[in-house]
Amino acid sequence: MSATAGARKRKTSWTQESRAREKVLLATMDAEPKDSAAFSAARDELITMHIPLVEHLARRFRDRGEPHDDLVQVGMVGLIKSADRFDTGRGVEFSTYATPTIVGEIKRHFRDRGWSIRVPRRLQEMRQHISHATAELSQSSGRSPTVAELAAYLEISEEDVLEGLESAQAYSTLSLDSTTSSGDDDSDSASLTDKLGDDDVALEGVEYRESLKPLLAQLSERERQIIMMRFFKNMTQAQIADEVNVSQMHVSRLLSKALKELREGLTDDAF
Amino acid sequence: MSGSTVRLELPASSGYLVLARAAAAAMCARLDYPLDRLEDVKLAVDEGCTLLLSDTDSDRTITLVLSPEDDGRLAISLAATTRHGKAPKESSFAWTVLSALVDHVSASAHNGRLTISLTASRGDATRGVASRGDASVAP
Repeated sequence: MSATAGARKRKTSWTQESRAREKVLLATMDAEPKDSAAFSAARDELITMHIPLVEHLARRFRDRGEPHDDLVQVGMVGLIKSADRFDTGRGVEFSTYATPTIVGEIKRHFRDRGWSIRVPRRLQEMRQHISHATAELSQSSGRSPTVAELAAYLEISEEDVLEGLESAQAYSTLSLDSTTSSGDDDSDSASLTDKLGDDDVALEGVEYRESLKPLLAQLSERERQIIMMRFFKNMTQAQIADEVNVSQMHVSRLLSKALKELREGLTDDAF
Repeated sequence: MSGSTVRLELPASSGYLVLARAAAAAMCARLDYPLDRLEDVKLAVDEGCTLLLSDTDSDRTITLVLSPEDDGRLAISLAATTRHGKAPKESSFAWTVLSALVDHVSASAHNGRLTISLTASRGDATRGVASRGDASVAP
């Protein structure tokens, strides 16, 4: 089942009929007392009607390390909140009102749970501070800062910096402001084959390039790009960060994540 | 050779890689390596250890030795008794990765014991910033 097909179907089948039905439901909820059977039946139907909207919105956050079902589940919380808070007097469509609430719940889930292992809030914040400080100091000195420089800048111990760096590796998801290709679901796989053609040249000399290629193809576009830049074009992490326009800590995290995935597929190739 | 060599013996299990990484990172911090170098060294130690793990029985150990040199370079040796008892192929992906991460990589095998030697430096070779013998870091 394709995601775009689902979304499109939702749009086309979202006929005047269902729009009219939605109006009736909202009017019922407005008129009936909240503890009546009529109210709860209307509320249930309104919510059920909009489940595809939640699924559609959850799909916009796919490939970020959180299971789709979990995202739908938290998105449903947003939908239910919307149904309970919607005020027909506002003159906006219910879906217009519900969308930001649903997306808000999903984003909150990422903020709270986007760590592959439980990392204390102190370390999550530390990671952010270090990331900002690294960007700041790199900007002013034209090179990557040292741990001592970061510690002095942030007024924390070097040990805390090292701890923060290590905890960054536990952050498995892509940041929420990284590329979002919402809507066009097939664009990734189309450009993927084009990109691999380029990579062929760089892979020259690696004996296992034939087994490497399908593994590279499984990585996200960005991970593959970073792997190629670091290991086959010998760019530094700082240079890659500049080029791809993400933080250096992010580059480092993506590199180790991608390497881990490649290794798992390339077992015992080295001997 | 300086007297601040660190030697760590780890069970041959991926659960202990975090210790190898932490030791390497702390050593790089002491040597005032810039962050991207430090992360590279961590990755290299991770990669090297994983390479050894793939060819080592789980009841064995991996020995990690971190030897800072006077000129700010860091010599890293990773050793284990392996099943093949021979050096990894230089055409392998793991080797490509190691070569990109540090200045120098070599491997030798004696009596079934494989040693991977890595040399890292503080300087950024691609930009030619650091010069040899410049042990102090510019502020």
